[in-house]
Amino acid sequence: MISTRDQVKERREEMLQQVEEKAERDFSDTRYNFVRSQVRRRWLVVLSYVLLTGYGLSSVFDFPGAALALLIVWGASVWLLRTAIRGLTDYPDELVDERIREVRGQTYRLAFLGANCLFSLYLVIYIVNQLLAKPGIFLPMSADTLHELAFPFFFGMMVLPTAIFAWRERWV
Amino acid sequence: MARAKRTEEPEVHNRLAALRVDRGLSRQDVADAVGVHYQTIGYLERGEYRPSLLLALQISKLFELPVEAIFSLEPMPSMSAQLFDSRREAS
Repeated sequence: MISTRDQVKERREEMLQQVEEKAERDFSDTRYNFVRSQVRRRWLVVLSYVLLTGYGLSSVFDFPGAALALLIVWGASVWLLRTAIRGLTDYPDELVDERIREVRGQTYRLAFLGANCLFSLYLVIYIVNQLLAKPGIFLPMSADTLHELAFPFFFGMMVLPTAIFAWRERWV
Repeated sequence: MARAKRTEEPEVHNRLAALRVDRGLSRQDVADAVGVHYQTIGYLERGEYRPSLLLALQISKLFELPVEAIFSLEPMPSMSAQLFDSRREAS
C-alpha cells in the first residue's frame, strides 16, 4: 500500500526531474544569445522600467488604451529579460553552482532593499496626497488613481531580482 | 551572531589556468569534473571568485595536487621560475 507520504515524495521527485530537464534546456539554449551580453541586458532593464513608468503615467492620466499597450510590451520585455538570464534567479539551489548561489544571495539582498525603497516611495506619495487632500484645498490624486499607481510599483518590485541579476552578472 | 570586522578581503591567488593548460584540459572539462558551470572556472582563473573549501578540494583532487599547490593567499611565482630554481638548487 502506498502511503500519502510516499505519493508526496514521488510527486516531488517528478517535479524536480521536470525542473532539472527545463534547466538543462535553458542552460544550453542559444536562441536568445543576442540579448545575453551585459550591455544588451542592461538596455533591457532600462527599457522595462521606462515602459513601467509609462504605464504608470498612462494610468494616472487616464489613457487606458496606452496603459494596456504599454503593460503588454512591458510583459514581453520582462519575459525577454528572464530568458536572457536563463531564469537563473529562480532555480532551486541544487541546480545552480556555488558562484551563482552567491550572486543570487547578493541579488536578493539588493532586491529586498530596492523593494523597500519602492514601497517607501509609494507610501510617501500616498501620505503626501492624503495630507494635501485634508484641508480640502487641493486633491492631487483620487483614491482610484492612487490604487492604479500601486500596480506599477508592485510590478517594479516583482521584477527587481531579475533586473538586478541581469544588470550585475557579467556572463550568463 | 558576531559581526565580522570590516577588513579588506584577502585575494586568493591560484595557478588553475596554468595547470589546466598544462594538462590539456578545457574549462568545460574542468567544470564537468568538479560539477560547476564552465564560466565559474573562468571567474576562478581570473581571480574574480574565491572557491568554497569543497570546490578547492575537488579541484586539488582532480589535479592530484595538494590544495596549497593550487591556491594561495600570497602571489604565486610562475611554475617555470619555480622549476628553474629547483633545478639550480639540485645542481
